[in-house]
Amino acid sequence: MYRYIGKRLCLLLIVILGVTVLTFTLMHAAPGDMAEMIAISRYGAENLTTAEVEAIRLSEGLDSPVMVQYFHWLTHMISGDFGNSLITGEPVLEEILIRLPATLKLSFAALLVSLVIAIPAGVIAASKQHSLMDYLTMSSALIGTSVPNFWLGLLLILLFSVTLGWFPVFGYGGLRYMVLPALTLGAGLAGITTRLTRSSMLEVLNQDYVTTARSKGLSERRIIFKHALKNAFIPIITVIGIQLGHLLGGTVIVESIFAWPGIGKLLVDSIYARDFATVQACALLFAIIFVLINLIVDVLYLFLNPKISYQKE
Amino acid sequence: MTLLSIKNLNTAFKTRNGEVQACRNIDLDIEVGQTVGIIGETGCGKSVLGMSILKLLPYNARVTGEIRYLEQNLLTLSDQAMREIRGGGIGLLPQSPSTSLNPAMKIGTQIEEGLVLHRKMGKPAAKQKAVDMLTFLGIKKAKKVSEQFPHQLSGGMKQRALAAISITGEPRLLIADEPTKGLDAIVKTQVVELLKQLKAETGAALLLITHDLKVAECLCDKIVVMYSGEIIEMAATQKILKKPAHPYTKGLLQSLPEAGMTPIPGQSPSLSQVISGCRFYDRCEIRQAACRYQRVPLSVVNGSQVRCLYAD
Repeated sequence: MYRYIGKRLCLLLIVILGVTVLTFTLMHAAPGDMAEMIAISRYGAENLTTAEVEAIRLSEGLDSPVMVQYFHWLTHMISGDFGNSLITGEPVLEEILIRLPATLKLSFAALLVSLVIAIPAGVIAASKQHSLMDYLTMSSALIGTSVPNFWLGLLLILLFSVTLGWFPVFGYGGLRYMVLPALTLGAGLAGITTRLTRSSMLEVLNQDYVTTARSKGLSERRIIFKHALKNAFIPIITVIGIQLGHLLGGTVIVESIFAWPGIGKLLVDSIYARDFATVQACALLFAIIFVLINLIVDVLYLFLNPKISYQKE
Repeated sequence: MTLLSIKNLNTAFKTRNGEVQACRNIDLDIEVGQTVGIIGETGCGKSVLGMSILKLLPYNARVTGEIRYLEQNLLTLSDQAMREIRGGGIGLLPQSPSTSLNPAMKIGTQIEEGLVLHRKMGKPAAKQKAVDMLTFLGIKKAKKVSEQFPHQLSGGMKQRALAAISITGEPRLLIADEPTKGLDAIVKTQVVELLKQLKAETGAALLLITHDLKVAECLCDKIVVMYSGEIIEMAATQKILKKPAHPYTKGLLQSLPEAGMTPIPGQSPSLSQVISGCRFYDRCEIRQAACRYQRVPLSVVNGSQVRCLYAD
């Protein structure tokens, strides 16, 4: 077990290396002169002098070959120094750590929203297959998945903030500020999870062992919760794990709409400003979180599926 | 005393390609403690008959007629009352032991459920009883096995665990659905012994659904032969094996290895096919013009019930 986790953590290193190389290359391949873009972000586009641009090129080491720049960054990163933001001059790590809680809060709230909607909806739809309830649930799930979240976000703002005035339009604060972003982000996820829960439950309910359970005279409730759900959860957990990774991607959009001061918004802003020190660190963080979540999911399998054992007995 | 009495049972499935009628006008009585074998080839509706009794068919099934267990008609029973019958009155020993146990639940727990539900046992008592039942059914180190998951058990052990599950509610009728399907000769013998043991322990009647004539001969008092959804012959075991009356039954016996493995030519008709006359007509050696259009009732010929106009 521990050996398995250790092995997975070693793989994490390789993934991280790949991600950093990729973002570094992409940032440098993006159109525009990097030094100039940074200068614009720092001093504004008006009365920008060539001297200022060249000064930035020298001070940030942008004149050396990309390979050299990468290894320079890498060696610093390994010693825990993520560099300073090219725009504000603040240490990147500090900036990220300040914003991380906001993103985590939003992600988990969205996940919670999606699970609270999706698991019961999927289970009910499966246990009442071909009923009106089933069709209604599945149509809503389809809508939930299909609606893009930037649009849903705006609609929710229009209805609940502008018209009804129940929640603030945007910003960061107490629970009231969290409702709309979490709902926006959670709705799409809920759609996917509902459909998956239903199909997974249906598959399990058609298994021979469910017939065995029925032949014992057990109640439908016990069959669903004690016999079917645990087996149905294996594919669901996998997808939830992957979704958590994609949630981070979703936060990029939703944080921008709701002006939520998280990593997603930081990433978008940094990309515009070509603040590659920050972009690099954000990408790294997303990669680490993604891999760790996958690891956690694999460990969760242990508890769900007794057939899997990561240790030699 | 009659334990289970089936009258004019029809089971049909609505499918995209029309209605598939798996059981046609089935009349069958099972006495207390009796062992009745249902014989027939794959797809003749014998498993559907078993599942119709327990009302464990998929949602697109439509069952009509009457299934009387003691004084109750199961077909009109509420879901709640039907659950009491399942496990408590009628137990099921399912097909394919490898897929019939919940892979994510300990063996012991799967046996305890029935004990808690039908015998109103407390958890600790049920736990001990489950171990005792496994021991009785020939599992060594039953305590350890009850803590294991299905994938850690061999096929034979799974079958024993399922056998234990099937009798937890002390049913008066046990339906064994193809218990010897796909097993080699040695394991088959063990299963036959297991079924005898179950019967001896519980005194329950047994409805044995099988395509294996040898297994039926070893266990059954009465044999029912099904063909294309219908009962075509029904008699005491020795009577049917020694003096079969229906041409299909005769063909079935001749296709046994010791009788020279002579196959019956042709194939049985699809269950969705509507046939006004005898369903065996196309393959029958003694068919006459009348067989084609005339509905053939079950009639008594030499003490057997036979669905044939020209049976001898």
